[in-house]
Amino acid sequence: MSERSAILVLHQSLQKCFQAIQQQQEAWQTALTDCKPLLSSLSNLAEQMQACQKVTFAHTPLRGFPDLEEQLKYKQHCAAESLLEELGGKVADLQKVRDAVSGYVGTVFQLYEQHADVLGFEALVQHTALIPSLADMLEWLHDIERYYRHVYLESKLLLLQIRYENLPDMQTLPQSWERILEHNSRNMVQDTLLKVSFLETL
Amino acid sequence: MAAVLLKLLPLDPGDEGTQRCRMGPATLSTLGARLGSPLRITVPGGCCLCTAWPRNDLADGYLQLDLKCKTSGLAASKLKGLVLSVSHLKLLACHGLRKVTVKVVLKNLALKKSTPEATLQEIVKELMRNVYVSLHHVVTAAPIPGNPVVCVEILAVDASTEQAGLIAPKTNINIKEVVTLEWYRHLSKDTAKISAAGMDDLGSSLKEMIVLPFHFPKTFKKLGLSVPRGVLLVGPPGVGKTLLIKAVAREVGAYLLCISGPAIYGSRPGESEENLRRVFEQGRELSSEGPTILFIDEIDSLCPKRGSSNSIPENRIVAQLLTLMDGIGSENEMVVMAATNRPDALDPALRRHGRFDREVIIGTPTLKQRRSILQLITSNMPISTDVDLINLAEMTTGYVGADLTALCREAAMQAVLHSCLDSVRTLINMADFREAFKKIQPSSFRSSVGLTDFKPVTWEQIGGLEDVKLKLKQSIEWPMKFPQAFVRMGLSQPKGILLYGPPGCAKTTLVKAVATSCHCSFLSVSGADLFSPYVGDSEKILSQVFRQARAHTPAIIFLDEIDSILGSRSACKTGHGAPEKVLSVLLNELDGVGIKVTERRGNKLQLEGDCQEQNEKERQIAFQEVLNKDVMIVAATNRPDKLDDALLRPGRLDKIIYIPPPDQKGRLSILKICTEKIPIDSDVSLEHLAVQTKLFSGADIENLCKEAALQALQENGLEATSVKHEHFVKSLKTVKPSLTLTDLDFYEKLFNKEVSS
Repeated sequence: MSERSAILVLHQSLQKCFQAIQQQQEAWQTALTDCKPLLSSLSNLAEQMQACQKVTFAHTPLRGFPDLEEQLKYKQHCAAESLLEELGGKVADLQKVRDAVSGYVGTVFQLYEQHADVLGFEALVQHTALIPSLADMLEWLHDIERYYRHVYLESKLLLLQIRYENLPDMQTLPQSWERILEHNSRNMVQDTLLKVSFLETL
Repeated sequence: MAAVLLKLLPLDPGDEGTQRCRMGPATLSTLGARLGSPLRITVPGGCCLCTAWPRNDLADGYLQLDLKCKTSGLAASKLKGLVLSVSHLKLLACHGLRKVTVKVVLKNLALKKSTPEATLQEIVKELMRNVYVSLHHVVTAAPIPGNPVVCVEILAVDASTEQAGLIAPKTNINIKEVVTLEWYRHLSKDTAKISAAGMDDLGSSLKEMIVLPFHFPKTFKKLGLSVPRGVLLVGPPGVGKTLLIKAVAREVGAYLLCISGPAIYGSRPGESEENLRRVFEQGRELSSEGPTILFIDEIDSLCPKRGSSNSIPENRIVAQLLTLMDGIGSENEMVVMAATNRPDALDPALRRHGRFDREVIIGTPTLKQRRSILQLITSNMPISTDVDLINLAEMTTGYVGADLTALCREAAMQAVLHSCLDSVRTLINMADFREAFKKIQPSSFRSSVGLTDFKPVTWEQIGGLEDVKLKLKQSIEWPMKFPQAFVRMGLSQPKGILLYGPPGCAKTTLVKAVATSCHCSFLSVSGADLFSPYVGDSEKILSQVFRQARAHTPAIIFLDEIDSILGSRSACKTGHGAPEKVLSVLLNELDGVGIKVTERRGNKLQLEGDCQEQNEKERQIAFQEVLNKDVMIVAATNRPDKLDDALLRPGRLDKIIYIPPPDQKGRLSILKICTEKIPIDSDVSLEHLAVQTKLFSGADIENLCKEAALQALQENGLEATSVKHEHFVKSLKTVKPSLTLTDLDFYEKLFNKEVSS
């Protein structure tokens, strides 16, 4: 196989990969945006729980209702559990995206490994104003994969930290979430996808 | 091509945590590396594992590293401005790993307790995904908030060690150990061994105590034993108590937690106790991870006797420490060690089993120990071949480890000083050591009572008295110099020697000569040192002198004018004065039941067993050590009849030597010595003078010579050049002998009586 055809093959697989990533990115973005309201309701719930802990029911007009406190707490717990379950589902969605992207990136790198002997170094780093070099694109793939991994782990750790014993922390969940998103705000996936838009024209 | 140099640049922020290493295209093609293939980069201080990527600007001659996976010793700060060559980079073959065993380092103990194992496994798996690893490398975890893992060390991989392994999602990660960051840092600290010489047996027993319960907890549980947890080290300052503990801790890899008095004491009431509790709590936490030693240095300042001191805060601290030491449960492996040089000042409640179970006494080093200490200190010093360490060890009686270190340092300074002055000599020779020896005094002697500075006197400077000199040499010098012969003949060193004789007959000078000729500690005690207006003070001072002397054996204690220091119980009517008490102390010290436990020195000597295979020199040292364990008393008096009988019996002052006034031959030699510096005329006949100076004591003869010289000056004016016979004759008229025949008769009789009895 000549160098030109190897480049062509790689370009094609890169194109496929980036297209797939574009689809996955949409799924990823929806999962992320879905998390936000869930987390804010969880924090609301935490606030309620704390309020419930603070108040003494016997001193309020509600003392006429027997077992109100227990029932209220039970309800809150149930609500929190269902919210957490839902959040777990979202994180699982994120994991799915991450796994899929890892798979795509893996295949591209495998392909590169197969053709690496044919490809000269010049061909790898050759780029024009329109077409970035192969080396750059492979690097971007790496970065994208790493980004997904990183954000997934971060959100997972955030969920792992949630404890009913620590209600004040639970109330700050939306802020922590914002921080995670902000931290990774330089949305490099979108940027990269824009950079490789030439592939559409290929 | 190998000469291509790569300048190390700081990493781009975007590349952090990617394990990438950026280099120019030329370097890449030299190595034959593909994109993303693993490289091992060796830099001073360690190596790291990276993946090869080209620089974005394709410039050659630069290198950027991400230290995600590196050996533990490597720090990013060391890499600044480094220049590497291509040979430092090595392309590694890579394969997927099936199984990897790791050690996980967590941020703190609370996280270690709260993180479940399954969660940890999951987190580690996520962190290690798609990372290239190699054996004994450490993978730094990404700084994510809420991430408990700091780094992961690779303990074992399933394939050969030289290659790099890629951790794939399918790789089985086996977490073998989970430690906290603090403990991990302690373990990976530079493990340069601190060595303490001459305390091998102590060190090994301490080591055993720390290590055994930690390594064999089940055995101890089965035996139903509670493990000893407290050790009190007792010894004079500078013998190496702290060093020993440090060395032991370093050797067994135990965490050493130090408590010092000033750090514990707080200004608020209750603050000190709180600090103490906190330190113990910290030790308890640490001990759940590995052997921990809680070391309390100078414990006497922290825990004085409770009854005697009026201050309540100190009492509270003592009480707190007692309860804390009792409260060290059996669930952890903390060992409490304390060091002090005043064990008597400690609260007695501390010194019982269950608190400080074991008391280890470290005495002033003996000859052998000093030699091994000197060997250790000089082992990394450039010393010339003429330095005789055995000789040096013999000279340095009473020196502790700290003093010996100071001695060697001073010797090195001397050598440096010399080499500055002349050529490029860098070796330290014996002369330097001798020079240093003059300057460095043993530290325990600094506060000593009887330490005296005297002009050295040689045997030759004393005229006549040949047989007395021989006797003295026999009883003092020989046991020190020829111990083998003494042991062979079953002789022991005499305990004490009494010199008596008329005044002015060189008793004191003889003792000076003894002290000069044998290298031993020399303490001179006079009445002025001993007597004080306080009741019991004199006895205390005398026993302190003996204690110090015992710490510095071989030692000689010289009691001049002993009759004035000690009274006689038989002669004195009242029998309750200070002299009598001093006498009883002296009798006890000379021939008492034993010595105090805290004065124990050295290790149990094994004279019989070990000596056979040792060489001649070693054996002689061993003999010397055995024989010179005791302190020798030399007393001088001119009133021997006033002494107590108990003092004169064998076993105490067992050798009684009469120092007679000089006979004619003696006088001649005294005259010769005295006129050595005086220019005498040829007409002076010293023999004639010797005949004429009957009944003159040594001091009288010296006075005579001085007088004659003065006469010469008086007659011939200040230009006088020599002393003539007539001057001697004139001065003979004025200078009268201080001895009388009756005096001599008294001494002679006493002598005879003693011989007959």
